[in-house]
Amino acid sequence: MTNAYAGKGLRIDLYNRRITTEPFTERMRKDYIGGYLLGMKILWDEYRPEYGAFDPKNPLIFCTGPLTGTRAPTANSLTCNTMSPIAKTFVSGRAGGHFGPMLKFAGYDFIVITGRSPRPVWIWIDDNKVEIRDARTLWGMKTSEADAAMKDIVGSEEVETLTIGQAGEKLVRFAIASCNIDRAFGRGGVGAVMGSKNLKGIAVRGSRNIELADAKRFNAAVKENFKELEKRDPWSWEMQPKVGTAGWMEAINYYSMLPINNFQKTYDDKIAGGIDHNAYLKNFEYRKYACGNCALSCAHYIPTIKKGKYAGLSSGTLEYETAAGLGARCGVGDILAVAKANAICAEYGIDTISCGSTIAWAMECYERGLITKKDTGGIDLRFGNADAMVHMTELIGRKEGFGAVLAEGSYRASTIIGKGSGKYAMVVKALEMSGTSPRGSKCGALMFAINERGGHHMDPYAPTIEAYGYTIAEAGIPEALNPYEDGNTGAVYQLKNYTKLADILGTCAFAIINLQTLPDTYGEQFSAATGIEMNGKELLKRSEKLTTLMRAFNAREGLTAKDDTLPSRFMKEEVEVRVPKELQKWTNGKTMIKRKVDLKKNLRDYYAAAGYDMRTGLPSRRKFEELGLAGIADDLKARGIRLA
Amino acid sequence: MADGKKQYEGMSRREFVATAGITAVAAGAFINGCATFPQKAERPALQIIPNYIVVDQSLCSGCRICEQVCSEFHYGVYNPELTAIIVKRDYGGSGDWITTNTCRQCPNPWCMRSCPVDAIWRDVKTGAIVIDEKTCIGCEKCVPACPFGMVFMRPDGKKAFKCDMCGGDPQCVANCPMKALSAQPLMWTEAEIEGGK
Repeated sequence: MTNAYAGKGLRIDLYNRRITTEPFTERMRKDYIGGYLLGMKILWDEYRPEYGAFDPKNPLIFCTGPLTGTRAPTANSLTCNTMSPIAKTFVSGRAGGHFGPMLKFAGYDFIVITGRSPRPVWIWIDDNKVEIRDARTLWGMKTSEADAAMKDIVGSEEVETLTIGQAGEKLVRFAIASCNIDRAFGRGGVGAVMGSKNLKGIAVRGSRNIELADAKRFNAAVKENFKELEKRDPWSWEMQPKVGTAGWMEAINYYSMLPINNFQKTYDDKIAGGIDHNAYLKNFEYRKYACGNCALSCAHYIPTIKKGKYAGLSSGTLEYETAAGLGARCGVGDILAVAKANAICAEYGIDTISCGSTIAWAMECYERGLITKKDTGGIDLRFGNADAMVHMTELIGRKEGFGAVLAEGSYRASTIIGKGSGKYAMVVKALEMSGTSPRGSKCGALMFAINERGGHHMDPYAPTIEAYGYTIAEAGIPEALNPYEDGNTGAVYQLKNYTKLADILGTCAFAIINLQTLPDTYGEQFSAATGIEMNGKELLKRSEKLTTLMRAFNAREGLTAKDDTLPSRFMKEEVEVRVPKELQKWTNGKTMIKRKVDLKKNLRDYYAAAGYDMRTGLPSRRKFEELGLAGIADDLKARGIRLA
Repeated sequence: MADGKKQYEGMSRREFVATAGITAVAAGAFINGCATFPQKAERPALQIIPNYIVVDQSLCSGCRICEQVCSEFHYGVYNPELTAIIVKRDYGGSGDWITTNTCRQCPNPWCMRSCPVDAIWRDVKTGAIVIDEKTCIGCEKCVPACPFGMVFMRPDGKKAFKCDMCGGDPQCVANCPMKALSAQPLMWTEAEIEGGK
């Protein structure tokens, strides 16, 4: 029986043009479930540290979770694991939209793509029929044009696509793979890996059944899950359909976590006011839409703007991270300019977070005199210069002029520029940090530092949990956390494992980010859908396995506990943090405090809770064995990495 | 040429059904009379549809939960090819870029008139035009007959299916998170039904 699963995976070798299927056995399903965990397992088995991201042998792995394609709330995940061209380690990305469910409807749980095609190709999956097609006519197209062209070629609108733009083709290190045009594998440069394989895109259409082990029980669990979402997180439930994640801008400025001017300040009412949801509602008419099986519909499409400087502009969703990256970080408080840059990013296929962060890094270097107009090609790269930001975005997309330097990402660009510019690159493990300043939240600081894939904000999204005082006894947070006092961060380990559940099972992070869905509800949905009985606790063990597997991968790549760190700015520069009323109980009523991060304290408590060695940042051999990863422990030992 | 012939046959059948009128359908219902189908041989003067499915396109977010619920309710599986409600999405297009479509339960349905074995009729209780699975021979004539494209073949190609309004309580309406789908009472008079012949 293959309840909820399709039961097989697809393996495509682009060089030899060989397409095979392989079974996804029940034992594998029990051990590795799906999503990130399955992807990470395949990546561990098939990637070797000597390859590098642009090596044809670097596997590009797309996985669905067991709930993907069912009616569980937000069950639409497609995850991607591969070696990152920008970070020092792997990518594990997730995209919504409708591609994930459609892949499963076509009868595949995962796709593994290896090899480099000698000429541009795209992959057409139509149930059993899988073809590698010529993409020479598609090469050079924007993401949306490629999507339309593929649909044209196969003669159907009922096709879901995954495409890259020019940035991916030209190996911009933070290129995205665009899923249904507006959703994307944003971080880590999945698009560049696709570009390096000469793979323009994938189109899929499916007409297979996804079966359920016990439909009645599953529907009851789904109903319960909807109730939880509504009850445990009414704010998102109300906000997301209205303005999507853009609604966070005001809140994050209020809680002093905005990365103003490359993280030099933590709040700025003027800039935030120019790019928050009020400006959004004032300037745009929008049309909301949702990914598959999602009741939140956080995505919006902005139809063509008719008047003003940016007339003719139409844009996809203006996410919080986009507005924080291209807006707040660059000191730009003009929502129209941000929307314009966002549209450019979408067309060329680049990550708005890394793009904004890299431009912000260049702006700081420019203001400090490390680079001049001679370097930038005459562009006045000052904080707040909206035109320069938009222009630079376009140059990065085309990889022209100074854009070619910035297209390497801020970490590599800083090694090109030199002159000590590296300390202004806000990166963790070479990946640009997302737009939440670590000063306003100690767990937020830790979340970046310990993140196995670099400066990413999703596992767990701790700042909101601290700011709103969310609690969840089942995942180790029985009471609200103090965001300003460093140390006592052990709970983050359990929280991290808990929020990974969504990525493994194939639902969106928005079902779990504010601790809405309880582990047992996931267990119930998983058991009812797949017929594999597993409660919340057992699922959390799988999450822990994923965290351990990611740690092991990093160790194999040569990363140690030393890489679990933040840019020195956060530990050295003391910055004003405005304390909102709800959090003044932690500061004895003070409304303004000066704060820098004491990361050592935070890390110490986290490592202790996770049982990690302070030097290697790895769990003990016993832990590996307990999680059924003894083979991986042996592999590490063979490579000379000692486990406690 | 083969296609042309097929179409011709469909046309002649449709004309035949038009002359035979709705009586044939009612007779069919009588012969096959089972729990879900109308028991009465007589046609009511008014056709009341208590839960007519109305779509507000401006509210629809295109999440396709309605499609999922539809296939799960009727066939116990999820399959985008087994749904009688269709969400079309045209990303980047302007205007109506998400369109949700389902059966109009027409006063004088073309699908019903095109059926050569009288497998399609109106359920008097719910007002839905329904296809009897046992009678259907899978000739596919009803599929092109529908001007809205809302009659479908199953992926195996053996039977036609369409919206049956879930026996009077449409599940898509009950589960729409955006409240874009609603169930409203609708009434067709005899004149409307006759006039559409």
